[in-house]
Amino acid sequence: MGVSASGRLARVEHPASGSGQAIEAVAARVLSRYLRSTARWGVARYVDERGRALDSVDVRGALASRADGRPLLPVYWGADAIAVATLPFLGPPFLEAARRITFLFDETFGGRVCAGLVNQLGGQSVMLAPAGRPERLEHLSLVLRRGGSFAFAVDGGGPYFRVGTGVASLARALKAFVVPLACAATPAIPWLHRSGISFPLPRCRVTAAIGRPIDGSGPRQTVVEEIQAALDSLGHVVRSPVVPHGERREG
Amino acid sequence: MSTLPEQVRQIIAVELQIDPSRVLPTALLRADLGMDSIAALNILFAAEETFGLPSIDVKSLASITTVAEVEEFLRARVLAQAS
Repeated sequence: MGVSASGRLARVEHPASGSGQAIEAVAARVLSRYLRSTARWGVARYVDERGRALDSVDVRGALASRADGRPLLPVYWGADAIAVATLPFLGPPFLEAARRITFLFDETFGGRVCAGLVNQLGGQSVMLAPAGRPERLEHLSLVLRRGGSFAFAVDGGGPYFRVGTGVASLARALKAFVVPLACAATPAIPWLHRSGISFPLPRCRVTAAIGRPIDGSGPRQTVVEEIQAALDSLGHVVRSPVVPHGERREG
Repeated sequence: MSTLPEQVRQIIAVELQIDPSRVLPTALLRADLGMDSIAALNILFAAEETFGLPSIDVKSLASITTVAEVEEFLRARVLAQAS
């Protein structure tokens, strides 16, 4: 649980440390080791929304704190979550971002495993009660009161590949910019789940596309449509078989 | 001076970025007006500020479904605050 007894958001020291969560703790460690070994011989390629190569300075800039102090909300499809999770193992830009930005996960098996992974990377995460539970409002209210930058799968829990209004409301409340991300690994093995999630295989090439920041202070429906369009477009970019620019491994 | 229902409807319209004429007492907050969890919290925070209410237990929002219920919910707290 990411909320302490005092009602303040707390760093998830080890979300899978409870007696009933030992499986998640083991799964997080296994996943961490797997991604680390997968990334060892993997390569990362960073591109913008038009498929143009970005270097590590560009990536750092896209995910860095803004000069105006407004927070960032990096968002991605749940299908890309494992590929996104591979990025910190492939180089410093995403590792630095993962340690600076708080991740939001639903209180599910997969969410607890992901939180364990973030914890192992030295990052922070907040667990949210599943949608429909009254506790979710409590957890979200603490997120709002705390403020800051948060990363999350925008279609977590479904419907998948659809942007809901929640992200736009959150961006508006936090006066944040939404940073759409898409990420795909090749080769990867699909997980039999309707979210479309897949696992990178050893020697994979991971392509991450970072879209232009979307100002969350705009009209809610417009923000939703912009995020949807950006994620759809970035998804095509990272899954394009054409490699328009050289690839590199950051390190 | 606006009445409590008018103020509540104005808060809902502003937070959901919709025309105030859509905020009818019988309107369903989620299905008709597109309210999500974060928007619900923003409405609550705005109401706390407008009516000078102490922090409300946000979990109590979970059972509220219509605009009229929001009005009643806030009216009860305003009265409790005044007494």
